[in-house]
Amino acid sequence: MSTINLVIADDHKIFREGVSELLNKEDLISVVDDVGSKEELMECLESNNIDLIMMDIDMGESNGIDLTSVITQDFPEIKVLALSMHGEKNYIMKMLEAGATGYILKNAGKDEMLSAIKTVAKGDTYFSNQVSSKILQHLTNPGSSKKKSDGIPLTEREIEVLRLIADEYSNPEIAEKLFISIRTVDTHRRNLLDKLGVKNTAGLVKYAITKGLLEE
Amino acid sequence: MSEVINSRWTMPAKIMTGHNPRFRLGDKRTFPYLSARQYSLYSEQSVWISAEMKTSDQYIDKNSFLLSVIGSAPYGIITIDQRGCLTIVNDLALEQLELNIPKENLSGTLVFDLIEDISELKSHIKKCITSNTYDFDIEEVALGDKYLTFRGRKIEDGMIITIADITSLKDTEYQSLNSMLEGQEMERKRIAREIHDGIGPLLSTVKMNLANIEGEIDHLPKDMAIKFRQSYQLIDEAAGDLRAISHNLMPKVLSDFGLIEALETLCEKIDLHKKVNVEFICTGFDERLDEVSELGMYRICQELLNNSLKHANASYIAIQLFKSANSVRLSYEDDGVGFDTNQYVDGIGLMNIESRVKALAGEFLIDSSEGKGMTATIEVPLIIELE
Repeated sequence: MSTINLVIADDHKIFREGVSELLNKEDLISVVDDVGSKEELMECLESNNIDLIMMDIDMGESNGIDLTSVITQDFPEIKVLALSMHGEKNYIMKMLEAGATGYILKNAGKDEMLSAIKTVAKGDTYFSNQVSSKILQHLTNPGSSKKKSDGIPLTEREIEVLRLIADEYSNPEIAEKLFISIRTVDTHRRNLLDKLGVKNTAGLVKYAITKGLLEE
Repeated sequence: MSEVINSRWTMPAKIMTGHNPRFRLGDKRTFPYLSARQYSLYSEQSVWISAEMKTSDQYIDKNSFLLSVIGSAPYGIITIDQRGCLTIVNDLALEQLELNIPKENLSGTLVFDLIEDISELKSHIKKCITSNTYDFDIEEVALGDKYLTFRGRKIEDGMIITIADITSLKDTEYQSLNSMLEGQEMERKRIAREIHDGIGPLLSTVKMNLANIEGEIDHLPKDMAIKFRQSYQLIDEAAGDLRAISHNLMPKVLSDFGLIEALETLCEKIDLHKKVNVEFICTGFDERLDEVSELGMYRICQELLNNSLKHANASYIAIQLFKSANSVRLSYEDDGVGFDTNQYVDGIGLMNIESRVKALAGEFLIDSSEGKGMTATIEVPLIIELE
C-alpha cells in the first residue's frame, strides 16, 4: 500500500495542526498541507498530487458542501472525507450528494480517524456509527411528512372534523361536540381546504366520500 | 366592620370591566376606568366644574357646550338610545369606522348598521341594551390597517360608545417588542458563534492532542493511565454539552437549511428520545421564508413542544405549517392533559409565544380544556419584498 497524500481543510488553524501532528506519526499517511479557505485549497490541489481531502463543513466564508461539489467535479480522482461537528441528517445527506464518500464527526478518536482515511482512500465508503444510523433513518423514513401512505396526511382531529362536516354538522355544532372553540373548528376547516386543495365544503364532503371516511 | 369593607368595595380604584368571551392572552389587565354603575354613583365627584364656569353663558346653554366637547374630543363618540338608534355621532367616529355617509342620512339609523363588520362590538352593544350589562371594553380590534379600542357605558336612556385609535400605540409596541427579541437573538447568535469558533475547536484540538499522547500511556503508571482515559472521556462530554448549548442558542440547521428541515430535525429528535409520536406536515412551501419569520416560527414551535412534553404529558403531537402567498399558518395540536385557558393565561411559555407572535404582527389563538388536549393556531403575515 502506497502512502496516502492528504490535505486538511478546516478554518481553525489550531485544529488543523492538531490533526496534522496526529496523522504525520502514521507511516502510510502524509499530510501534504493544511488549508483554511477555498483559495488555499484550490492552489494546493493544483500544485500537489493529492489523494484525499479531510473536509470541514463550516469553513467561515467557504462552505464545505459547495467546495466538495466543485472538487468532485474538477478532480474526480480525489476522495473527500467529511470531518464535521454536525451530526444532523441534513448535513450528512447534503455532503453525500455533493460527492463525499466518508463522513466522521470531530469527536472521532484516533483509531476511527485512521480507519476512515484508509477506507476512503481505497475507494470505499466510511461512516461513523452515529452517521450511518442517521443515513439509515433517512432511507427508511425520508421526511416524517410522508408517514401516511395514501396521499395527503390528515391528523386524527382533522378526520373527526371532516366526518362531522360531511355529516352536515355546522361549525358551532362541531365545536360543541369536540369541546373546542368555533374558531378552532374554523382553523381545522381551513387546514383541510388547504391540504386537500379544494375550494369549499362540497369539496371536503366529496373527499370524505371518496376516501370512505363516512362508513363507520 | 362592615362599613370598612363597604368603603373598600366602593373605592373608585381599579375596577375590572369588560367581558371578553373569546380567550386572548394578555387581556387580563385591570382598567383604571369606572364602570357605568360606579359612574352613576360618583357622577357628582367625577367631573369638576369651576364656579366661574357654572355661571357662564355656555354652561347655562349646556347643549352647545356639550356638543363642542363631543365634537372636539380626540375620541370617536357615538351615543344611542335604548333601541340602538343613533343619537349623537361625532366626525371622528365616522372617520375611524371608515364610513362615508353624509351626516344627514344618519337619523333613524341603527348603530348596528354602522358597525356591520365588527361582530364583537355588535354583540356587546346588543347585550348591553337588552340585559343588565352596564358596560364593555373591547381592546385592539383590527379594522383595515387600524387598531381600535371600543368602550361602551350605559347612560341615561341609552349608552355611549367611545372609540380610540391605538394604531400608533400598537406600532410602537411591535417595534419595541421586535427590537427586544432581535437583540436577544443577536446575542444568542453571537454566543453560539463564539462557542462554535472559539471553545469548540479548542476542545477538538485538546482532544486531538491527547490522542497524540494516547500511544504513550503504556509507559505511565496504572493510576495515571486511568486519569488520562477519564480526562479523555470528559473532554468528549464537554464537547457534547457545548454542542447542545450552541444548538439551543441558535440551531445552525435553521440558518443553513431553513424552517422546514429544522423542524423536521427537531421533531425527529423528540420522536427518538421520548415516547411521543410527533407528526410534522407542511403544505405550500416551495421556498424559504424570510429570516425573521423562520426564526420566530421555529422558536414558537420549540416553546409549544416544550409545553406539550413538560406539562401536557402528550403522546401525540401534530405540527402543521401552511404557506400561502402572504401568510404562514401554524396549526399545533396535542392530546395531552389540556388546561383551562382562563387560568393559565400567565404561563411563561405562553407569554413567550404571545410576544413572538405579536412581534411578527400575527394572531395567536389557543384552545384547550382540561382533559381535552390543546390546539394552537398562529397566523403571521409574510414580509412582502418590495421591488
